[in-house]
Amino acid sequence: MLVLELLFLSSMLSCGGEPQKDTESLKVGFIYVGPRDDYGYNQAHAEGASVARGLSGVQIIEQEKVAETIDVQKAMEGMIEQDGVKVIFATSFGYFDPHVVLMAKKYPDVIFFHCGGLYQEGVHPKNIVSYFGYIDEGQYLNGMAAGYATKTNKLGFIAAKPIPQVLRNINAFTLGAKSVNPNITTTVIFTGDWSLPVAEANATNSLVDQGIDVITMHVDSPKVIVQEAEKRGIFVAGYHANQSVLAPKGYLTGAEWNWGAIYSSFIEQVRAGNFPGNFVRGGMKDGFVKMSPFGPALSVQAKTNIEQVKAQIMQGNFVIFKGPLYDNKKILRIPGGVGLIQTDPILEKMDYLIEGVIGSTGL
Amino acid sequence: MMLAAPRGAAFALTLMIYGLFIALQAHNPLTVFNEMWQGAFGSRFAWSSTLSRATPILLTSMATLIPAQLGLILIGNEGVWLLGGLTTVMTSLLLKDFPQPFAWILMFLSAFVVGGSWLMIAGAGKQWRDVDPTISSLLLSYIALACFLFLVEGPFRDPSSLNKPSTYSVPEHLRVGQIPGLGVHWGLVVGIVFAVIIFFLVYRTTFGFQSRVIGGNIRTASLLGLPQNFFILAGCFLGGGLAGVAGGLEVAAIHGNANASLYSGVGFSGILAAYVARHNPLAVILVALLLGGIESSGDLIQRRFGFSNASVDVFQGLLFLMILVAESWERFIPVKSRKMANDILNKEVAS
Repeated sequence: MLVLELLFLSSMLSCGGEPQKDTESLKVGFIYVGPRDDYGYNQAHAEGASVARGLSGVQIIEQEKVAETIDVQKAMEGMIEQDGVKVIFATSFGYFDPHVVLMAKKYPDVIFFHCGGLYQEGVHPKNIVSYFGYIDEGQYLNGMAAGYATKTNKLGFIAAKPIPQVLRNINAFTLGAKSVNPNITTTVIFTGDWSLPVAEANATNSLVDQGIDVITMHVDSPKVIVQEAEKRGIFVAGYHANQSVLAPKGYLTGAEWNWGAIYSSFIEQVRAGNFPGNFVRGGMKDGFVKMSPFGPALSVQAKTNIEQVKAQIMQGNFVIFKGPLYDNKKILRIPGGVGLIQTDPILEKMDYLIEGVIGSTGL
Repeated sequence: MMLAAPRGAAFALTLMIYGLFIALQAHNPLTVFNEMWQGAFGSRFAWSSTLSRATPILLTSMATLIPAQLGLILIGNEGVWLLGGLTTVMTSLLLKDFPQPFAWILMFLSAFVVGGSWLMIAGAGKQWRDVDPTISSLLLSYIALACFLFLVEGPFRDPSSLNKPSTYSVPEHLRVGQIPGLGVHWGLVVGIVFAVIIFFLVYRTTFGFQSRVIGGNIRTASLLGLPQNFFILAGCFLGGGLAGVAGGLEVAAIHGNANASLYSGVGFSGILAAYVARHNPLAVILVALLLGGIESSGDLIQRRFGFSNASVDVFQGLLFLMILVAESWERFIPVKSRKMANDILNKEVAS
C-alpha cells in the first residue's frame, strides 16, 4: 500500500459535482516539455504514463515537446475541449505559473496535476495537485556509490541551473560520497539550461580532463553525459531514468523517478472520487523514487553498505541534511544537533553548496 | 493565376508526399488530413489556438522583412524578441504608479527602442565595417540570449522565484488582456495593424520606394544620391523595434514576467514567415496563419494518432521546401504572362 505524504489535505474540493460513470473510460492527458524518449526527465514521466495506460477504464492521451508558452495552454485546452480529458498531468515545472493556474481557473471540473510544486493555499485554484518527490535520497545513494568507485577522489556534477532543487541534489550527492570517503570533492559545472547536449558533452570532457572519474548530473536528458563518460572510460551515476544501457561498463547506479506507481495511484484515487490533496510529496519509502540496479563496477562490500542505508531510508528514519553543516564559503548552514527531515520546507529553498563542493551558485 | 499555379502544385505535392508517409505509418491519409484541418480551422477553439500562435509571428517577422527591403538578410529576430520582453517588464515595474495608457505606451516604446537599437548594430556593422549582417545578426541574437539569461537569473531576478528564476511580474493593471470571445490577446490586432502599415510604408511611400531601390540596386541608389546609411539604420531600427514589441506583448499578455521560457523559437518562426511571404507584409499575415494552423493541427494529430511531435515539423518542412522549389519554376513562365500575373496580384492586394 502506498503511503502519500500529504502536507495539506484538501478539505474543500467538491468532487461530488461530477460523478464518474463506471461505464465510461476516464480520459487522462499527459504533457511533456521534451521528447518522450530522452533517457531522462520526460522519459521518466512517459514511462509513468504507460504504466497508467494499463489500468482498465483509463485512456491516456499524450503530447510531447510542448513549450512553456501559450503552446501549453492550448495543449491543455485542446485536450479538454477536443478530447474530453478530465485529468491532466502537466509534467514540466515551468508549466505552472501562469499556464496551469489559468487553465485550472477556467476549467474547475478538470483536475490538474503539476510536477514540481508551488501550490499555495488560498492563492491557487483548488483543482490543482502539485506533486514532487525527494529524489535527493537517490542522489545521496549515488554519492555513496561514487565515493566507493572513485580512485582520484574527484567527483563531477553537471547541472542546468543553480536553483534549489538542483543544489539540494548536488549537496545530497556530496554528503553521500563524503559519508564513505571524507576526502572527496565534487566539481560542479552549470550549463545554464535544461537541455544543451553540446554544452553537456563539453562539460563532461572538461571534467574528465581535470582527473574526475565519477560523474552524475541534473539536466533533462542525461543521455549525452552518460555516453560521453562511458567513452572516456569513467564511472557515471544516472538520473531521472535508467541509463544503464548507454554505459554498460561504467554505470554505477542511478536515482530514478518511479512515476508509474504514483500515477496509477493518483488516477485510481480520482476514479474512486477522492482527491489526492493539493500538495503531495514523497520519497523512496513512498514509492516516488527508486534506484537503478547496480552496474558491474562496485564491490560486494560497497553494494551491501549502500543497501543498508537504502533500507534506513525506506524505513523513514534516515536524515540526509544534519548539522553541523557548513557551506563552501565556510558559513554554518545547519547548526550542530539539528537534523532537517525531508518534508522540511526550508530544504525546498536551498541556496548554497556545501563544503567539499567546488563551484558557485552565482548568487 | 499564373503565380498561383506553382504554389497550388507545391501544396498538392506536399499533401501527396506527406500522405505517403502517413500511409507508411498504417494510417489513412485522408482521416489524418481531416483531423489536421479540424485542429487548425475546424472549430472555435481551433481558430483561437491557430490565431494565438500566429500572433507573435506577425511582428517578429518584421525584423527580417523590413531589412530585406534594403537588401539585408537579418536573422536576429529571437534575440530582439527576448530583449523586448525583458525591457517591457522592467519599464512596467518603474511605471507601476503611472496612469495605464501612459505606462503602456512607454512599456512598448522602450521595447521598440531597445529592440531596434540592438538590430541596428548589425546594420551599422555592415555599413561602416563591412561585417556580414546575416552572421552578425545571428551572433547578436545569441549575445542577446546570454544577456537576457544573465539579467533574468541574476540582477533582475525576483528572489522568491526559486526553481524557475524569473523577473518580478508586470503589475496586474498593466497586463494586456484578451480580445473578448476570441481567446487571443490584443497583440493580434497590433500585429495586423502594423503589417498593413508596413505594407503601405514599403509599397506606397517614397521612403519605401527608395528603400527598395537601395535593396534592388545599390549603384542606382548611389547615382540617385540616396543616404544609404540612414536608410539601412532606419530599416534595422524599425524591424528590430517591432520584433521587440512582439516580445513585450508576449510578456505583458501571457507570461507576466520574463524568464527562460520566453526563448521558445518564435523569432525563428518569424524568419521563416518573412521568407515564405517573400517579404510582403500582407502575405505575412496569411503565412503566420498557416504556421499557426500547422502548429495547432500538430497538437491534435499527436493526440489522436500518437504521432511524434516531429511529424508536423516534417509537414511544415516539406511544404516550405515545395514553395521554394515552386518559385524557381517561375523562371520558366514567359515574362509577359509573369508581368500580367504580377499586375493582377498587385491589384488584388491593393483592393
